[in-house]
Amino acid sequence: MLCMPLEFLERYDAGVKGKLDRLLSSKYSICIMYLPALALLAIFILIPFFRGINISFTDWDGYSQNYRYVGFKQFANIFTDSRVLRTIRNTFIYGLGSALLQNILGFLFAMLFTSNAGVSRFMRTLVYMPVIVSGLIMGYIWKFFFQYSGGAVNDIMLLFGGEPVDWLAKGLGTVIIITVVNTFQFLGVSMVIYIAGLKGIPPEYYEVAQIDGANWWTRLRYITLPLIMPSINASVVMNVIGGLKLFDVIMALTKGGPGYDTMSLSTMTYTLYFARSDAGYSAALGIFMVIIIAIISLSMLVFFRKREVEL
Amino acid sequence: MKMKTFVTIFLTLSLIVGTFSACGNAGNSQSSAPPASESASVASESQSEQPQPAETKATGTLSVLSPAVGSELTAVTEVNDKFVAAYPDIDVEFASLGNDYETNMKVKMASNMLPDVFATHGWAKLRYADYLMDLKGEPWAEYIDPAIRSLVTDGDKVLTLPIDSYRTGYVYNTTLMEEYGLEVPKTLEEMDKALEVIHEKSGGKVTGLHIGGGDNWMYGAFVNTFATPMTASTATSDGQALLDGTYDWNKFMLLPEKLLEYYQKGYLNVDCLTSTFADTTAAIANNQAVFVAMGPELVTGAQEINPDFKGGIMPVPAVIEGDTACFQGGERTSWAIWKDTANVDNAKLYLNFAAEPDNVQIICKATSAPSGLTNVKPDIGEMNDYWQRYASNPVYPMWDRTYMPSGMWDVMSTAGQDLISGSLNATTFTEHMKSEYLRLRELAAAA
Repeated sequence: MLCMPLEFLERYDAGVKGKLDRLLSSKYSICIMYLPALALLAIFILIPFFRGINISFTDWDGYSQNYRYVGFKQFANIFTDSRVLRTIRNTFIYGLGSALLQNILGFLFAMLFTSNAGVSRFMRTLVYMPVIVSGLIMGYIWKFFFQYSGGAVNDIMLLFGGEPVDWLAKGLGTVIIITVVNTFQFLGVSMVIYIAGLKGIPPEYYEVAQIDGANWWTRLRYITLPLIMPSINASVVMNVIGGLKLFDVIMALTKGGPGYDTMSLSTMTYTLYFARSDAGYSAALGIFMVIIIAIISLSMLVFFRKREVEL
Repeated sequence: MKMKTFVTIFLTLSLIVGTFSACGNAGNSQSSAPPASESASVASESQSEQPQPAETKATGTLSVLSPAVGSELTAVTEVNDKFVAAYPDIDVEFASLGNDYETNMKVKMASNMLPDVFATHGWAKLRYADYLMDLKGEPWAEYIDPAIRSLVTDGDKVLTLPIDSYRTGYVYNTTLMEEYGLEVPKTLEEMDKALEVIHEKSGGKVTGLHIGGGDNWMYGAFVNTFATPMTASTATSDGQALLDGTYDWNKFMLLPEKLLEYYQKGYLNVDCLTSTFADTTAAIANNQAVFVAMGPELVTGAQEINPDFKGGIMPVPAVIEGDTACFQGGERTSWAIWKDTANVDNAKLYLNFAAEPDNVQIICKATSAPSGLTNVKPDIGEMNDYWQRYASNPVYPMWDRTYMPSGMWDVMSTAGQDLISGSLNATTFTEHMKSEYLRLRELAAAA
C-alpha cells in the first residue's frame, strides 16, 4: 500500500470516497471479506458434498459419462454388506480408542509439564513434534518398526532368540497397532489443550483445598477436572473426529488389509471408488460416515458442555 | 479514514488475487505428475538434451501418460526421449504414475480431460473404448498380432497400438529347480509335488510359491492364473458358462481350497499377507523363492537385483485331466489416442514412432515379451527360447477381463487376502466371488 501514488489517492478520495465510505463502514463491509473464504468453502466443500449426495443415489462407476438413479439401493447395501460391520468396528476402535489414549496420556503429560517437576520445555516440544509429521510419513516410519522382514521389532525379537511375527497381518491386533500409532502422533495436541486449561485454573483454589486437607485425588476430582471441562470437551471431540476419519496412517501401514481387516469407513470409501469402480456405493458410505461422525461428536459436545463449570 | 479505506480495499484485493492465483497454480500441476509409487514414478519434462536435426517440421504439444514401473519404465522413457530428440519442436509432457495410474485415469475420464496419448494396459476394449480414437488407418494396424487382435479392436475399430504381446504363467527360479532336481510341472499334481519337494529339501527355508500379498493384486494375479486352465481351457465349457451367467460356482471351490492348502502346508512365504511385489522380486532374485504367478517382466526385474539370477517362464499347469498347460495373455505396453485430443497429428506421430522396429525392440527387451506387431521380431535374449519352446501351448485371454464383470479384480484380490487371514474359508470365498460376480454383471447389464 505504501507504493500507491499520492495523486491516485487524492483523486480517489475526491471521487467515490463518499459512496465507498458509506459502503465500507456499513455492516456489509465485513461480508466483502468473507466472500473469498465463502467461495473456497463452496467450491471445495459444499458443492462436492452435495454432488456426493447426488451420486449416492446412482450406480455410477466413477468414470463413465452416464449413470442411473437407483434410489436408496446403495444405502441398503451398507446394511447387508458383511464387510461394513467389520469396518464400523474398526472405525469405532480408531475413533474412541485413539481419543481415550490420547486424552489420558495428553492429560498426564500436561500435568507433568505444568508441575514443578523441573521438566524442560524441550521435552514438551519433543512430545508435540509427531503432530507436525504427515500421517502418511508417520505410517511409513512405523511400518519400518512392524514389518515382518527387517522390521525393528522382529529384529529385537530375533536378537533375544524369539521368532519373527507378522504384526501387520493380525487382524484386530493390527487395528490396535494402528490405534497406538495414531495416539502417538496426536497426543501432543491433547497435551497442549490441557496445558492451556490447567494454566487457566487459579492456584489459590489448590492452596485453599490443601489448607482444608484435600489430597491429590480430591483436588484432581473436584477442582482440576471440573475446571478443565472445556479443554476436555475440545480435546475429546477433536480426537474422536480425527480418529473416526483416520485414513493416511492406515493406508501407509496396511492399506486397510489384509482383505478388509483394518479398513476404516474412510479407507473403504476410497477403495470402493478407486479399486472397485463403485462410486455410488462409495458416496453412500461417505454420507453414512458423515452422519455417524456428526451424531457421535454432537453427543459428546452436549455431554461435556453440560458438565462445564464456570470459574 | 483514508488509510482505513485503503487498507480495506487492499486486503480485499489481496484475498481475491491470492485465491485465484492459487487456483491457477493447481491447474498447472497436472502436466508434471508427482511420483506416487515408491517403486517407480518418473516425470520427464519436455525438451531434448541432445539437439539433433529434426526429421520433420512437426511442432506443438503432446501429453503422454503411462503406468510403467521398473524396467518397463526405463524402456518407455528411452523411446520417449528418442522421440523428443527426433522432433525437438514438439513439446512433450511425459509422465509415469506407477500404481496411481488407474486412479488418475478414472478421474480424468470422469472429467473427460484425458492426455493426448496414454497407455491402455490391457483395458483398451473393456474400459477405455469410449474415449479412444479409431486407429485402423495407421500403417502398423495391419500388423497387429492375430492372437491379440480381438482384444485391441472393437469391430473394425482399432483401439490401441500393442507394442508387446503379453504372456503370463509362472516365472520360476531355474537355479533352484536344478538344485532340487525338478522338471517344469505340466499338471496341477506335478505342481503340488514340486512344491512339496521344495519345502522338504529346503527345510522350509525356500518358498515354493511366493506371493507379495501386501500388494493385494498379487492374490488377484494368482486367482487369474489358476482360474485360466480351470475354466477358460477349451477342455471345458465353463468359460462359456461364465460368459452367459450359468456357471456352477461349486466347481470354483478348488481354487481357494488349493490356495489354503499351499498356505497351511507352508508352501507360501510366511509374510504372504504383508510382503510386497518388491519383496517377491527380491526373494526370487536371491534364490529364496521358486515360483511366482507373474509375467516375464519379473525375470528382468530380478536380474536388476541379482545379475546372476537365472529365471524362466512356464505355462500354467493344467487342472483338467488330459489338458495342456496354457498361458494367459493380451496387450500390455500399449499406446492409444484420446478421441477428443487437439493434437491428433502429433499423437499419431508418437504412435507411429513407437511402432518402429527399433523402438519395439527396446520395449520387448525390457518386458521379455514377444512383439504385438507381426512385422517386428525382437531379440529378447534367453526368453526367446521359452516362447519358442511353448509356441504350441494355448494362450487364453486374461481371465478377469474376459470372464469377469468390471470391478471383480479388487474382489479377487481382497478375497484372496481374506482367505489367508481367516476371514473367509473356501466356501465363503466362493460364495463371495459368486455374489459379487452376479451383482456386478447385473450392474454392467443395466448400464
